[in-house]
Amino acid sequence: MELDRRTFLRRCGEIVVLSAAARIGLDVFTPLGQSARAAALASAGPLPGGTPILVLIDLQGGNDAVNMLINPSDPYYYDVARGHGNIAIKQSSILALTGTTLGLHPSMQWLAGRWKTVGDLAFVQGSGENTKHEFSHFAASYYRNVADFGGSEGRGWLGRYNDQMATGSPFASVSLNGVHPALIGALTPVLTVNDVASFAFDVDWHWRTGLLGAWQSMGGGGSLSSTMLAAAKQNIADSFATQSVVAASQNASIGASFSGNFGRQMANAAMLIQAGFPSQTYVASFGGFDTHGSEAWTQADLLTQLDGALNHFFSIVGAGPRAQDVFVMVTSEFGRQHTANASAGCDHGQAGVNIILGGGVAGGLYGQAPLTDPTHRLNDALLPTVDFRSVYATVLNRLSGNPNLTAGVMKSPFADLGIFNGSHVPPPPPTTAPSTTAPPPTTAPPTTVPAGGGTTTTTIKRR
Amino acid sequence: MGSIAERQVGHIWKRLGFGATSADIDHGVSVGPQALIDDLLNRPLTTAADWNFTAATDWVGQGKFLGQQLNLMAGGAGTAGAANPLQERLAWILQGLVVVGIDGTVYFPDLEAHLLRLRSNPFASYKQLLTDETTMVGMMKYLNGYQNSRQHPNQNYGRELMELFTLGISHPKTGAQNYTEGDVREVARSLTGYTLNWTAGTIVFDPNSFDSGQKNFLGQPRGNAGIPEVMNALASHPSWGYFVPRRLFRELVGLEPDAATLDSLATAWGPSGDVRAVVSAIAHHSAFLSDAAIGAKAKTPIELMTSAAKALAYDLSSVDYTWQLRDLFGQHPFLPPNVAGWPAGSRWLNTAVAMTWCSVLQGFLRASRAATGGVVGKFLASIPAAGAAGAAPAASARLCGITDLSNSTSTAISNYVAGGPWNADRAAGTLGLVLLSPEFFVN
Repeated sequence: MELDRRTFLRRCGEIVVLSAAARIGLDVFTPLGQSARAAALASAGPLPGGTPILVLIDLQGGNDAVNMLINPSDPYYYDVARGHGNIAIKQSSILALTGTTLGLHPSMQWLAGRWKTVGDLAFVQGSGENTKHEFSHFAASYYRNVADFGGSEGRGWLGRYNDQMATGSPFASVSLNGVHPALIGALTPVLTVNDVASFAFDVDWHWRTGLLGAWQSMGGGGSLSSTMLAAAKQNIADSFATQSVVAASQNASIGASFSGNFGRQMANAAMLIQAGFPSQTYVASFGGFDTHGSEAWTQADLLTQLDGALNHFFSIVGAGPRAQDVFVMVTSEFGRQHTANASAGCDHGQAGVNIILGGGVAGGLYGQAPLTDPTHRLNDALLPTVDFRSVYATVLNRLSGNPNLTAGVMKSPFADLGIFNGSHVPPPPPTTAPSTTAPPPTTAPPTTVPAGGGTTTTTIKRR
Repeated sequence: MGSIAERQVGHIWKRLGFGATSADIDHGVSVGPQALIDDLLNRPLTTAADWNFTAATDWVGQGKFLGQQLNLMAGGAGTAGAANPLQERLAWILQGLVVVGIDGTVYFPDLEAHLLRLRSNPFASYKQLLTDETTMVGMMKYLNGYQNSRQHPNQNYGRELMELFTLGISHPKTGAQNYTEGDVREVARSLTGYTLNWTAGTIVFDPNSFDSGQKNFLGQPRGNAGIPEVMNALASHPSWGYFVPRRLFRELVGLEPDAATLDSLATAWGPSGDVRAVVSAIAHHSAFLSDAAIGAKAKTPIELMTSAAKALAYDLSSVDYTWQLRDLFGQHPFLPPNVAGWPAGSRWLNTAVAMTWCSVLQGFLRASRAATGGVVGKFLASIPAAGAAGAAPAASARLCGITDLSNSTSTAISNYVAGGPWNADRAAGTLGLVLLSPEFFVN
């Protein structure tokens, strides 16, 4: 399930063509704005004002959402035998989300303030998938990155988006920490900028004369979709095509105001956005959330870094001309089990929480809190109430303004959650007693169709 | 440009080692590809006494250890790694498969012990390797094994042992699901009982922490199972002979093995996980030297550095590359991104790697240019100024273990050489261009 363009192409047998559904989307509904936007994304010129920009933050490892967006009224939250018990956050430390019965982890001071003062902070509760109930990091991350459960998709959801919106453009996307699989497309390279300040051709002056021109000429005739040698050539060409544009966005004062590896990624995103870099999609990744043990100090530290970096990021972007364009989405491959283990942590879960904040966001609670009573859990994990693909569809609708294109990228229509136009209906308050609403059907074990063919029935052991 | 034998020889050195000098190419051509393969398969093992790692007590020492490990992988003359490149290659593959990384709890001595275990005989029984690793401090800390107790089993190691180290999620051939969540819990129960003595830095078995009840996993009752029973169950699982051998095939060949190949590798792997037998089968497989396999992989940053260091006779411990590897390349050997190790494939052909490699390479070139009798000097002397533009491309490529150049690369090098006087600086730049060429990025 390794996400790799050549692996995907090998599986398809030949060069990828756009899916029929996507083609229909482009033929039937191509508003003028969108064509202009696609053209803008393909060029090196500044991104036109008003173009929505996503910064996706991938918390890798499975963030314990229960300790991030906290429901202190949940009778199981403080329960030692059936809940977070000793790793639950003390009531007095929880940061209030005003107007709700929920609260935030004490590390999220800026976000708590943002909720109160600005109104552009949204939480999607119960986000996850009820298709595979995948407990493996790597399989779950794969499914989140490709937003497809067939097992053979090699392109990320944002890669598919950019394949359509900015086909072949080296500016289409920016990956801030290695190549993030969500951005891998078939037709479009992923610009990887681990550090804006270092994105320069550093050649010793003794032998520099003529060297860069020679190196650049080696990149001619490259291609993403044939041999590894052709891809290597294409990468050289892309490096030259993008270097000056990236380097021009360098801003030392922005860089200096962030700290840590994750902070650096957000600093780089802020620099590029401020400079008008022509990309709609930035992806940062932040590891360390796999808190099987010692969750308290680990998660506190990580969420402090997240909160701090978001604070800095929005103070910069919010003061600039793109304040209404830029939004952030925070995701993780799954949540964690509701009962703490003996290592003061939790094992892999299911339902998590997405955070979406920034330009165009109608703040509030979305989705529905999962049921927490033990009879409604799966291997002690909380069952999702919102398919994460709806969250993606909501974001893609915002980026493209084109629900047909979104449906093509997502391979079928998913409900827009109304996060960007304020048309959502607030979810019911979190229920504490067993609900009369039936939980997602799991009495019949789902049938899985593995990539290798054949069918196997998955038996999910329940407590 | 290169003959078939040269292409295959260059390929063998890249896959069963970390690249070649022109002397390596010459040697391989003179004995022939098959003899070279057998030579590399049968060299005497090197040991910790040969590697001579400096004990590391602080972060400076860790950086030194890193450089020493890289030097061994690069296998430059004078390092023990030159004696057994395949041992270095297999140890590196294992480092990305049986993963332990430095994190909040894993200290450097824990990682060092882990690396020494991987390196000591990577050809031997994989089952024994995993059995040993299960109770080593590094792995116990990295995947919470020492926190796994009877009262509340911690699933981390049990899950990853099956998913990443032995079976995979589904059978590589049939796609059948290999284990259930229930199996994860039961295996975790069987692995309880080990605690960490933080003062001594040792793992201790505590019967009170061990779950001595009856367990049932991977399809049958396992009695009062502990580590041996878990390992035996894994070694008799249908996917045991398929998952890791398939990984080894992908790593060494760069292609997907077909079903018949998977079956034969499973037989060679056997219940003990015979790495030598499988690696030998792979290296002798017709796919290994096929045109499809040659150039099918992308160099990871570690391979860029070690192959170039080998070609330029550069000492990788002369600089602490911690920052470049961790922050710019995103591939620090002691800091895998997660327990799945590093990704493979064309994902490494990205702009950040290209830019960073160009920058890192400059230091290699400066050192080689300054060294008396260094590679830059020898290269300069080997090419007369008259006609240098014509002769330089092939000669410089071969020096760096590359046997084929595309026209555009060759022309670019010629134009560069023709653009200035033929002197040590231009010779250095020429080698730099080879080491920046698309042909070098490919493995």
